Amino acid sequence: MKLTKYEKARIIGARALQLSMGAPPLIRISEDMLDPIIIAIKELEKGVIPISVRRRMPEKKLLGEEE
Amino acid sequence: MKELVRVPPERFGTKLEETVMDILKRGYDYRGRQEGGYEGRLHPELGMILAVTKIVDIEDGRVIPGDGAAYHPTTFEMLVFKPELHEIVDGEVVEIVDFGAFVRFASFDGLVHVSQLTDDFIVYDKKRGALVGKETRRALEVGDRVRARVVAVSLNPEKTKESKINLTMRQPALGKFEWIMEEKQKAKKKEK
Amino acid sequence: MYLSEEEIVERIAELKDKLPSSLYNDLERELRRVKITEEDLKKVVAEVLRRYEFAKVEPGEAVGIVAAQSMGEPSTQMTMRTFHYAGVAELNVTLGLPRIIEIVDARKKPSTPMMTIYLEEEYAQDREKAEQVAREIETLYVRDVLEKSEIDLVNSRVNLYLDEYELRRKKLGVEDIVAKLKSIKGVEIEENGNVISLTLSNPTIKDLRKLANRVADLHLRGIKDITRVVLRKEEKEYVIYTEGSNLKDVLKIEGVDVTRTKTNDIMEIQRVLGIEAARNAIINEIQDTLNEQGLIVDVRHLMLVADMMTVDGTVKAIGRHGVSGEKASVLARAAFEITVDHLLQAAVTGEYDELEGIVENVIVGRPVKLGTGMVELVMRRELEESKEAV
Repeated sequence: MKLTKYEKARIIGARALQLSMGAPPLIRISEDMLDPIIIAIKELEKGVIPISVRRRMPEKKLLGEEE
Repeated sequence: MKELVRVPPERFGTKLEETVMDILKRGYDYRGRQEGGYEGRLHPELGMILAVTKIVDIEDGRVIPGDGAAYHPTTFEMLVFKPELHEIVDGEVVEIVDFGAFVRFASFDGLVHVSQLTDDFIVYDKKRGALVGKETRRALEVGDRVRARVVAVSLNPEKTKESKINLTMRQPALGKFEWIMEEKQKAKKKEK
Repeated sequence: MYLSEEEIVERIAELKDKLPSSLYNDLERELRRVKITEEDLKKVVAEVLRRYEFAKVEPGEAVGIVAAQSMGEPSTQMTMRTFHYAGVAELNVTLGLPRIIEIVDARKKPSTPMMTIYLEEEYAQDREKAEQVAREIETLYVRDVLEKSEIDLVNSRVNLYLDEYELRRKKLGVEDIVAKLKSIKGVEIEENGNVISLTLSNPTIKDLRKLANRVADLHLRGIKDITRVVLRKEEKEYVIYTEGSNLKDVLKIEGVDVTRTKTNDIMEIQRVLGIEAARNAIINEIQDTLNEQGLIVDVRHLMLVADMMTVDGTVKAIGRHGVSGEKASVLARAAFEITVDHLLQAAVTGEYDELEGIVENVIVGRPVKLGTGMVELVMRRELEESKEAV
């Protein structure tokens, strides 16, 4: 499932914050890649971000979780 | 009990159940507020939390705006103790002062006021650090094991130290264990 | 090697399900006109799809705000211009900003009600027949064909002097007017060329005056409320424009094309044709008004406005007495207008605010359910626990 631009932004933002707060990165990082935002974007590209989106229908029912 | 447990990002990468258990038991400081760390805390309704015993369920963690941490709604079991009015408790004398004796039972210290020790008139013996009955010469010292009844409970969850529990030993079958034994034997003799 | 027209059509057929039909038709029409190689066609198709996907509104988009801005900006351009525009064929019609405000406020009556009446095939081509329909529609009072009327005190009667020119133009005979006058009881009618004399038995001066006024207001023919008609030859056909609007009665007239005839009175459309028609009318009226000023706003913004105004089955205004005033949340209403009244009323009746909307959450200082604020994130357990870099 394609993520909306808002979902992408939230995921990258939240993940970068986690990384900056000391979460272990889930991709190999090198010396020249220390910006948490860049790491988060790379993680998203590889699909290893440990965060998924919960979408709700208008009636607030959950719409099966998706990445 | 069900609580939202905040798992900080630096704790990622370890077994979630272990992390959550640790947070529940020991806790940590988050922006000047205690997060988790239930053991040894006084719960306003449940009483003193002695131990977090078991995690029943950890739901998926939610990520809220402005915080990188995962908030897991967690259901867990705890061992708690709450002194009830009129409950009989066994404890140990931990301190003697001129107005009574402090008895430690479970995780609380209760006060037995001098007037509630025995029917006898009580004198405070400063040298021995003991409370002595004027007629019976029965003495109560630090380290004595006693049985008492709870007569008043006032718990203060904010400051555990300020919680007050009053006890009495001025009833039959209450008091220092030795005294109780003596009374029992006396009663047996009488029967004979 | 260029593709033939058939080949092109065949190749883009798969887009039929992926694109809206209007876009697909445009694409097909354009591609039929060009010479293109297979490879280039593929590029075009890919680009069209990419741009279409890019233009789609994503969940969480603040469509209302965007619509408001998209309409608001062109409106500022309009304010500078004249209030009234000499509209179609010497008819005076409210246009520009005042007209937009009128539509959006859901006024009971437009300030200049107007109809565009299309005719059925045989009437539309024939000037004679079209004029006949037009005459049937225009209201005519006796006053309109009078040159003058006088009260003859000597003979105690009212003399009506008819305007011959007007009569001829309106295709009326003196006898038609006499026939109408017969509906007035207790009056003796005397006809003398262009002069009609009305005699009452034993009248006072007051009675005569009353009679003169009554006669002048006598309805000769036509439809109530339609004060003026103008017949115009459009590209292929005759079209009738009217001042005043009465859709219900006009639709009953023989020769009127019921499917195309329209009015600018939205409330009347709602009454006569229903809410869906009213919704379409709102969209069309706003769009026409904007286009007339040379401003172009995407219809979808206007559709949103029209939808908001008509969702609950009746046309309601945007603003205090309509959309904004009927919001469920107290705080949202208070944020719009008459703050104190709303808060007081809510306090007195013990209202409850669910804090579901945007405005409420802005007031309270919580993240709003919009855009990134709407996204709910959940940790994936297996990855939260994993430490391995992949």
